[in-house]
Amino acid sequence: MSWGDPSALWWLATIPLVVLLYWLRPRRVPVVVSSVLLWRRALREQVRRRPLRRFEGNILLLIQVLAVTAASVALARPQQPVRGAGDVVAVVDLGVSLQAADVRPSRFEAARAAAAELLREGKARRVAVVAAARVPRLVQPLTSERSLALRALHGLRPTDGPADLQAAVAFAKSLSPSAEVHTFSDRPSAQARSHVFGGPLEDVALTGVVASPTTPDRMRVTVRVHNSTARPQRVQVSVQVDGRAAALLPLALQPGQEAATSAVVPAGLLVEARISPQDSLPATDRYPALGTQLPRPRVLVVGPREPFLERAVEVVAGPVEREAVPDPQTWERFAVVVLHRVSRVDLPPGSYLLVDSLPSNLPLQAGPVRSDTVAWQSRTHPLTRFVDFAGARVDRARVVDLAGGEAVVQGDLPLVWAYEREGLRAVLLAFSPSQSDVGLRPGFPIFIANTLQWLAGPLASALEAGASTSVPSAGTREGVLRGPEGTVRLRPQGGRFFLPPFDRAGFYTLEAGPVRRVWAVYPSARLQEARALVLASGVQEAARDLGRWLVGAFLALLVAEWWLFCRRQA
Amino acid sequence: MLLEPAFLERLERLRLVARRRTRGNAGERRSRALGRGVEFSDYRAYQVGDDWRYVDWSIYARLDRLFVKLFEEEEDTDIHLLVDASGSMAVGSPPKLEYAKQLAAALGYVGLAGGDRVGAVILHGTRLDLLPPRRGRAHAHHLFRFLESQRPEGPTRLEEAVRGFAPRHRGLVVVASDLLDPRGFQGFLDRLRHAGLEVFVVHLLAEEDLRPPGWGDLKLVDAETGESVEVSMDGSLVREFTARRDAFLEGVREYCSRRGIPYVRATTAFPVEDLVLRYLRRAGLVG
Repeated sequence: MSWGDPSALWWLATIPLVVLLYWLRPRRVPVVVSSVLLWRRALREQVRRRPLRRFEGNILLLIQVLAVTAASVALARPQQPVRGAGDVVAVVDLGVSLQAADVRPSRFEAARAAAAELLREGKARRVAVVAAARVPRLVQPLTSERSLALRALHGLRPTDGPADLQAAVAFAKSLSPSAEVHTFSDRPSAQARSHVFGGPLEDVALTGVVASPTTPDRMRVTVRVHNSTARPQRVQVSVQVDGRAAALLPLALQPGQEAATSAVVPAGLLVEARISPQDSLPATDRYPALGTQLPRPRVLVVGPREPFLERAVEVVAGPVEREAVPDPQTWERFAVVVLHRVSRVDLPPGSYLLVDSLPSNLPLQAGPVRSDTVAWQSRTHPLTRFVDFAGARVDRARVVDLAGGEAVVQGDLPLVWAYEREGLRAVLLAFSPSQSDVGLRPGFPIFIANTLQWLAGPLASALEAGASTSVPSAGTREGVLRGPEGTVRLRPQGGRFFLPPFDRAGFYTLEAGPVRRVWAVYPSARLQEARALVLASGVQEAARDLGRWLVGAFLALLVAEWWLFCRRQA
Repeated sequence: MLLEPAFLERLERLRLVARRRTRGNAGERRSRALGRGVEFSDYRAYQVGDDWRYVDWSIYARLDRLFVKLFEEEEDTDIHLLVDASGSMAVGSPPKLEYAKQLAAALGYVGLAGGDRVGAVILHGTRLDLLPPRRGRAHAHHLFRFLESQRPEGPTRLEEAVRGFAPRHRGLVVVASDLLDPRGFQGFLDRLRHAGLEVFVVHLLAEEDLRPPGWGDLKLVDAETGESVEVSMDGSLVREFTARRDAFLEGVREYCSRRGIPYVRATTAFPVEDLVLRYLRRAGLVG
C-alpha cells in the first residue's frame, strides 16, 4: 500500500470533532413507561443474540467516523500494487535525457539492460516492447518469442527528442488490458511498474537559437542557454553559419538560470550553436537552426505577361524565368510553374498556379465570362491565411467547375480553386489579376506567398527532434534524404514523401527533382519537465488507485447513515 | 364519583363468592366450604373425631356403616381490596390506578351489599394505607372516599409491603396490580397464600404496557424509579420485547394456575362494568 498524498491523512484529526458534535446533539425523546424491567430483558436478549447490537446505540457515530475515515483516506489516494499479469510490455524511454552518462555507461544502456533482463528472465506468457518517443512506437508486438523482443530491444537508440511516457504506457496497456507494463526511464510512471535510472539531471543546455536579419547580408543570432546544475557555470558559445565559425561568446550562468547572448554574423542558411565544455548530456550542447537566407522555390512563368502577378511572384520567390511558348518538357526543372492564359495543354506531374488558364487534362468545365464580386473565402485553407479579398471586384471571371477541387474564394461563382491529385497540385484563378482589383489588394502578395508555399511545400523549416513530416512529391519519383545518420532513399506515396522521424538533432536535406528542402532539427528543450518528474531511482510498483472505492464507500456510508437516522426518527 | 349510580344498582344483585371457609363470624353469605350449616349438602364416611350428632343413623341401620351428613356452612368473610398504588400504576389512559380504584370500589360495594366486611389495603412501595374491614352499606361511603384519596407513588415492593399485613388477616384478598415488581411477584402471592388468605388476582395493565411506546431513538424512563434505558426501537427490539412481555404474562397466569389462584387479566381500555359483570362473574369471584 502506498499513498499519493499522505498529508491528506491529517483530515483524520477531525474525528474527535465528529465525536464531540455527536455528543452535543439533541438527546433522545424521553417516554415514561410503567417499568423498564421488560425492556432491559429485551435489550439483554437482543445483545445476546446479536452482539453487534451492543454498539447500535452509537451506530450513527460509528458510521460518521467511518465516513470521515474513508473520505480522509480517499483524499490521501491510497494505491495498491498490481501483480501477476499474463503479458508483460516493456516501455523503454527514448527521450534525450536518457543519453545522460551520469549512470554508467548511460541511463539508456542501464534501462535497456534492465528491460532485457526482465524479458529474458520473466515468466510472462507473452512480451512486447514499446518505445516512448515523441509519439509511442510499437517496436515488438506481443509475442511468445523472447528472442524477437530482445532483438527489437537491442535495435533501440535514444533520440534527441522528447518522450511522452504517459502516452506510451497507455498505448502499452491498449495492447493487452491485463498486461503488466514496466517502464524503463529516468522518471516514474504512476500507471506502470517503474524502473527508474538516474536522479535529477545536472545539465547546461542550449534551449533556443533565433536568427533575425539586420542587413541584407548580416543577421543577429541570439542563443539561449539554461543551467540546471547546482553550481554557477561559465561556458563558451560558438556559432557557425553554413559550416564556418562566425562568433565565439562567453556566458556566465547562475544555478537554475536561463540566459541569452547574441552576435551579428554574416547571413546564411544553416546556423549551429555549440557550447563547451561538454557535460554528461552532449546532445543538448548543440543546437541547429535556420538563418535568414532561406531557399526560394524556382518558378517559371508561362504565357503573356501579367505585371501584378509577376511582381508578386518575384517578391516571394525572387527573379523568375519566363517562357512565352508553353513547353511542358522543361517544366519539370521548376518547383512551381505559373500558367497565365494558357489553355489546351496537358500538365505533366508538378505544381501549378493556373491564372485564367484551362489545361486539357484537368477535370474542369468552363463556361462564359462574367463579372463578379468576392463574397466568401475559406477561413481555414492555407491559401487564404492572413488574406482578405472581401468585396474585391472581378470584371471578367470565367465560369469554371473543377471536379475534385475545393473552391476557396468565391462570389456568385467560384473564383479560386485548390486542386490536388497524385503527382499534381494546382491553384486555379478563374480571372486575371489585371482584370480585377484583386491585384491591388494588400493581401494579394500574401496570397501568392501562400500559394507558392502550398504548391512547393516548405523549403526550409525547423523541427524539434523526434518529429516527422511529409512534403509534396510534385511529380518526382524518388527523393534522397541526407541527415546526421546517413542517406535514405524515399519513394512518394499518394503524391507525398513521408519522412521518417528526425530522431537525431542536425541538418537534414531532401533532394527530390527540382526541389531541395532543408530541415534544422534541434534537440528537445523539454528537459525541465523530465527533470521535475524524476523523484527517485530504483523500482516503483505500478499501483491500482483505491481512492474511488473509498469515495464509493464514503457515499454508501452517508446513505446508510441517513437511512438509519430517518428510520430511527420514523 | 368513582362509580355511576346505574352501575351501583346492578352491583347490588351480585354477591362475592369465597371458596374457602374462613374463621370469620357466621354471616349471611354462603360459603363454598362444607360444614355446620342448616342446608344439607352431602354425605361422607365417618372419621374419628366427627361429631356424633351429624351421624345419619337411618343409613347406619340399613347399611351397617357410619356416615355423617354435611351442610353448607353460612358465614361472613373479610374482603380485602388490595390495590397497588405504586408509581407504575400512574401509566395508562385512563391510568391503571384510577381503573383499580373503580374496580375496588365496585367489588367493595358488592361485598358490603352482601353483608361482608370489606376493607382496603393500598400499597405505596413498602408503605400501606389501610382501611379496616367494616360491615354495612354505610361503610361504602368511607371506602369510596378512601379510594379516591389515593395517589400513585413509590416503587413496587409487593412482598415487603404485605409482610406485616398477611399474617394478621383472614378472608379474601382481591389484588389489583400490574405486578411489575423487579423482585418478582411470586413471593408476594406466596406470602398472602401461606398466611391462609384466599387470593384473587386481577392483573391490570395499560395498553401502553403491551405495545412499544414509539419508534426511533427513545429514552424509556421508569415511572417509579426514574431509571432510563436508551433504545433504538425497531422491529427486532419490538419482537424481543413482545416475547418478554408474553413470557411475563404467561408466567403470571401459569403461576396462579398451578397454585389455584384465580387470575383475570385486564387492560384499562376495557370498561370496568364489563370486567365485573362478565369476566369476574365468569371467573367465579362474583355470583
